[in-house]
Amino acid sequence: MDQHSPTGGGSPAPGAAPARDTLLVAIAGNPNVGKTTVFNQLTGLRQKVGNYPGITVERKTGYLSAPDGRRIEVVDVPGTYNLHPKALDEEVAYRVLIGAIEGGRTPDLAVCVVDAANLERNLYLVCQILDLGLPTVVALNMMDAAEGAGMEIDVERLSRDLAVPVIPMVASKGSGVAELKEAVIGPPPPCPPRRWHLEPQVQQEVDALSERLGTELPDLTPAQRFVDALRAVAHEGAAFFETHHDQAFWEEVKNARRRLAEAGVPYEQAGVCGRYAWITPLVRKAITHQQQAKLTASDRVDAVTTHPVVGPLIFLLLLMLIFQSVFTAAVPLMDGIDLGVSALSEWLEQALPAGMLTSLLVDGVVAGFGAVVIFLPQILILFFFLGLMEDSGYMARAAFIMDRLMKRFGMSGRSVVPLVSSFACAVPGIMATRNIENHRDRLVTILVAPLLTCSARLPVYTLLIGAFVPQAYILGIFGYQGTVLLALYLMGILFAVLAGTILRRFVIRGKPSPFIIELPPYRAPRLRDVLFQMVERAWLFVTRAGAIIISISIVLWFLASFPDTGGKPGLEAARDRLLSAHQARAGGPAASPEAAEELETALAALDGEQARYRVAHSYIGRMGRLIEPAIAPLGFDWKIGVALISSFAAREVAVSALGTIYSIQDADEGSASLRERIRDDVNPQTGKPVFTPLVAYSLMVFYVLACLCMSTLAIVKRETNSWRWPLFMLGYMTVLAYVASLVTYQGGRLLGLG
Amino acid sequence: MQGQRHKHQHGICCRGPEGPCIPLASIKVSQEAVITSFDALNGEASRLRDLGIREGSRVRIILSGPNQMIVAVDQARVGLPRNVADLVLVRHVAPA
Repeated sequence: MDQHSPTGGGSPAPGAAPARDTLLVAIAGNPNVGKTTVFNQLTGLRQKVGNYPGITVERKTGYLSAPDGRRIEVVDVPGTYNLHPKALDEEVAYRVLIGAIEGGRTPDLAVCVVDAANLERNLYLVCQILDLGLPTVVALNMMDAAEGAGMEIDVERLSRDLAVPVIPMVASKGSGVAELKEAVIGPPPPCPPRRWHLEPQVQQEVDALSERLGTELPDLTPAQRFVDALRAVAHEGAAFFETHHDQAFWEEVKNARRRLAEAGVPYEQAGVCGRYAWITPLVRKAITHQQQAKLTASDRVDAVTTHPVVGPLIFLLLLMLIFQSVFTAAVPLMDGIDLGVSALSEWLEQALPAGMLTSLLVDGVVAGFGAVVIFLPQILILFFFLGLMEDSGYMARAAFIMDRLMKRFGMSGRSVVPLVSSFACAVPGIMATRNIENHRDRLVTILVAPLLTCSARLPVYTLLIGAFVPQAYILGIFGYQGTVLLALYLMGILFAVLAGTILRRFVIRGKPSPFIIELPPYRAPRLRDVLFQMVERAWLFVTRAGAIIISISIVLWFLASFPDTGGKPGLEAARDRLLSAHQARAGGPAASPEAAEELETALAALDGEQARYRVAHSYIGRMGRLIEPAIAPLGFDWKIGVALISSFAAREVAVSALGTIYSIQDADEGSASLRERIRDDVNPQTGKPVFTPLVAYSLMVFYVLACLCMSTLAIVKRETNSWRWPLFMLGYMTVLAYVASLVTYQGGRLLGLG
Repeated sequence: MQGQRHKHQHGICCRGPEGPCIPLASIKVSQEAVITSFDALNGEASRLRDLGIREGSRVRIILSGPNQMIVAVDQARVGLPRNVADLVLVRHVAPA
């Protein structure tokens, strides 16, 4: 094969005259080069976010309209340093560029975004994209940063030497965007021939394998055959092509490697060395002036933010700020959503005829919808702050300084932010794990995040602590109630650390990879990009996890509503009697406000009794009774069983479920009457109290450790793309909660605390 | 190029006509060095090369902590654990 045109390069571009109505343009580049900014500049608001089929790597597409009416689809390819896939997102980048994804469509044009200040390294990826035979435009971004570093780049020369259009840009300021749009809309440039060389012996072996591939896989272009053969020989990662080759091909590859090794040819670095041997002099010619390296403002800031002592303290301070905002600023918004959903439910109940369909709509669908949107304020606020940290360049530093500590617990530096976010809610916390590159670290972080005490557990703790922990003080300073609450939080942290260590050692095993990370220069965050990302993530949550949450809500509604017993015998008659008596005395003292209030209280009591009866005889009530023998060793009766099952809708639902069972209308964690009822409740068979302080502690321990949240399970399913891990999580956390609760209750009894 | 290799107080070392190779971890803040080779690093070497730290590239130490380091390569900054930096062999050079 001709060394100078081995890839079909020099031929008219494959995308030169595409027959399709919609052109496909891929935006590729190293991480942190402003790729997403370029993508946003090109597509504006015409974007949609989803996942690539079968994997949880985000897929962002947008559209650009050409003046002649053509529609151009733009895909934001995950950031990658090379096309030798090692990580999942790198694999996706590679697959998009070779047309093995996107419905088998090869991009008509690749826009490779390049950091002008780090030209040499960035051109390595450009070189690999050109090897694939793709028409390419280089977007030379961050020209301002290059100039700031004292670099002068001869763009024309660079374009001539690369033989592709090079457009200087400062995408964040909109500079060069019009020129890039023109290049994207215009006819794709021809792909130049490959200009770098392999060592002759390696080239010979690659040519032989490439020729064989031409016979075996005629659909591959000459460029793809070359890349494929080189990847196979140089171990550059053959994950995609491996599935296409037979054993005989790999025997031939092994023989080629053996021959090269015997000849002392370092074939594993052949591609890297060959490409850099071309790139390095090219860059030296293109950069006409470069100042001596000097300490930048970022370096000076890094001296503080990555300091072994000061760095973690600054990070802790920032986390507290974020945590506080997620926790407090979201509350009014969440209350507003709650009110809105309640108003919608009430309106529907009044507007529609009473019956099962209305109940399904109100208590199933609307309640499920409420359970989805109630998380939005926390998710939006969290992702806003994460976006700021990411876009400013601080996130990489935070991960860097925390890595050593987190490694001890089976996670990575990037696990810290998701874990802290989980104190507000595990759902956004788990979504935030997308920043973790290492698949195993990410999985461990996802699996332990729900152990951290989220805000939904608070109503349960408040109710039980208020009912059973005395309002006394230790040393006159520390209240018992506050201390118990703190202990519950600390317990969650302790078990998360233990679980992470154990999971990493025994379940999700693998050598921890050293944390090597690029620290991008600090810069002012671009609000537009941050807001885009925040809305995208929130939308993903609503559309994906929302569907699962609403489905489970409907199932829970069904379990609580059926079978329809028609109500407790005699209660309707009692209600009628009360009303008749009231009407009969309408002319007398019954008309007084006191009498009306008395009637209302009596009716509310009857309604409460009716609701309690219905729940007790519904499927969920039966399930509560069914699991009673299993939970009795923990000190729980069937009523607590119902509360536990109901908690799957949301943990705080446990309080209203107990309210229904104990016939307290509109119960919340602050209801004094509910606290009294659960304190006074006596088991009719044993004559002993159902709830004792020991039962309350056992129940709180159970709530600390159990995964009683369908939203969490739904988001884990969504993020891991399988039911395997959410089920595993449900299993291990249930076992953990059960054992800890059992130890608490039975241990307490042995100590005479029962 | 790599020359003879032997154990050295810094770890593995090589000696060639241009002077001794020493671990990157032993270079002090603000000092510069040229990468000569990677010792016993496989996946990590590939990752370092991705980030521009490859044989022949010139690096400058920005931060040298007890467990981690930050090095500058061109205008990029790369953070790496010290135990990885111990296995990156460099030749000390005077600032340009």
